[in-house]
Amino acid sequence: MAKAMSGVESLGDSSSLAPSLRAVWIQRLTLGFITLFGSLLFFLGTSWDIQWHIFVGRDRTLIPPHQMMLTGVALSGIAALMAVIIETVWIRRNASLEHYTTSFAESFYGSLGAYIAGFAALNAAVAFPLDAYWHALYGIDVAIWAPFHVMFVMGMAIVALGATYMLVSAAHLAERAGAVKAKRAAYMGVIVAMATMLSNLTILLFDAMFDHAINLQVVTVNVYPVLSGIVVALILIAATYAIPWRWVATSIVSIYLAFAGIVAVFVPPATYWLVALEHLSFRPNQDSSPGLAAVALRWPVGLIITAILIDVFMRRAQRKGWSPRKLRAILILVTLLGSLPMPVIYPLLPVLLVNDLGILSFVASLLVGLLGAYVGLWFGRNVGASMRSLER
Amino acid sequence: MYKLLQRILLVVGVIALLAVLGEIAFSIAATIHGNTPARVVRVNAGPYPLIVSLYKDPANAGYALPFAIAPQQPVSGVLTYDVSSLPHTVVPATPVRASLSPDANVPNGMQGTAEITVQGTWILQIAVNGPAGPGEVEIPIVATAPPAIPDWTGWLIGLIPLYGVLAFLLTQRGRKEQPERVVMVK
Repeated sequence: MAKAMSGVESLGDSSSLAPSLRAVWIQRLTLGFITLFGSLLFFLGTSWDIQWHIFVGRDRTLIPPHQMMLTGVALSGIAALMAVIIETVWIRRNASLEHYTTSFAESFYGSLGAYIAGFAALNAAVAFPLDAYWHALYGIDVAIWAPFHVMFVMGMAIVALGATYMLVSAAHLAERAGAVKAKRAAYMGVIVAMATMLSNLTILLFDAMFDHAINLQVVTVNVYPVLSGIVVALILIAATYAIPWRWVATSIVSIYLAFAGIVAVFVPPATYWLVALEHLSFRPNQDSSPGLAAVALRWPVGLIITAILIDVFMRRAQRKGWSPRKLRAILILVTLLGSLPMPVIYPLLPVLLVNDLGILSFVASLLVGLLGAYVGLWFGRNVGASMRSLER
Repeated sequence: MYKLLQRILLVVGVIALLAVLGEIAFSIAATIHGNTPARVVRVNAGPYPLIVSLYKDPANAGYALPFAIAPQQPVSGVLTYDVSSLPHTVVPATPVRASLSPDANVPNGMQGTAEITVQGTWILQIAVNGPAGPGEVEIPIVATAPPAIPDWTGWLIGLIPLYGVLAFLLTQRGRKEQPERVVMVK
């Protein structure tokens, strides 16, 4: 019968397989959540560190915000490494599980997500001392867009992507085993992981929000829409393709906004506490107050509109049988809407940009933004489709 | 070819991990006081003649500078210290309070580490309080950093995660949904 059924396979002794496969998804679920927690911890630490840099200045290397960031890096890196070591040992004992893993260098076995998270955490770990070196050369007020800041933050954003893959594979394996609650927990983890990835990448977008326009003589292009378009479309579209739930994009952005709320509540008191503890004082001549979280104030709020519209149009496209081209065009426009710089502190910044750049440059920025949304959508659809049935 | 690339990546990963562990070890070692100070300065902090020993001279920017403070003569009473590293006005940095602990071998002596975050000229400011009242002294320090790499090299390295994620995302392009697989349990 096994031969008669297409795609059906027998994997030998079920008594040894059943608990092993269960062990695989439990392990991926557990370590996936730990990896995700590491990335989330890093995000909170970074938000605190930005506040510290603005209002106090980068002083000691191992200040608590840095310790928080490094704990996140270490936690996710160790979790990813553990995931690979554990699965490698299991495959040596039970080769039939190999189908559910990805091999690496003919020696290691693990989930695809564990490799991604491990690679990214290692990048972040390497970035930290390199960043200290960069600061030693150029001073404490280096912009967010410095080589090793980008390496550090992007590394930890990719860690969240790795956690996403680990949890997606756990969800599919749990579903196969009929573990409904575990599957639900894994999918919820995926949503939080994608919100964490979006949050970490948002930190890298701040510099583009107020600065970093490309002057092409005829027009000046603000790069925020194009970069945000890539990031937003990639994450939200991948999620809607990968998770078989309604309102996935809206859930991700809701959690993303909740993270900004957590930063707003956590960072200012933590900064005051640390300043008092270390007998330091705030730097003079700062534009804003240390009582307000700088990261939360810059958080782009327009994304929620994009997320809701993505969910609405994806569902409508399914029901009405829209052509892929029509859906793509709408999703690109919708993504662009949320990719305009609309920070909490000044949601009408796009209007200011029109005034600042001029109509022609603003339109050029939007057109380049459309290109970014297209690229993000293309990647997002591919990633989402590959995740939909991922078990490895 | 693909397997060779994986092996190369594995070797690079192991080297990177060893480099990180080496850096951690070096950072920890930088906080430890050696047996012989690199520079000894005799100063007067108000009424208190002190011997200040610096265990790295010039200091390494981005690392801790271990130091020790000892009175030149025995003092009746207790001395308390407050030490900070202050950047020169042209150095883009902020003052940092040093961490201090009593030196068990020297009465009224202290050991500590001062963070010097940025290369350039700094001052080790020592404030003392004791039976003869407060006193203060400033000791100039020079901090050096390894030679600067060009900006483009920095960006080339800094964007490694981007290359990695782009390569990964591109490999996802051809991946279609796998057909439903059913595990048959005997």
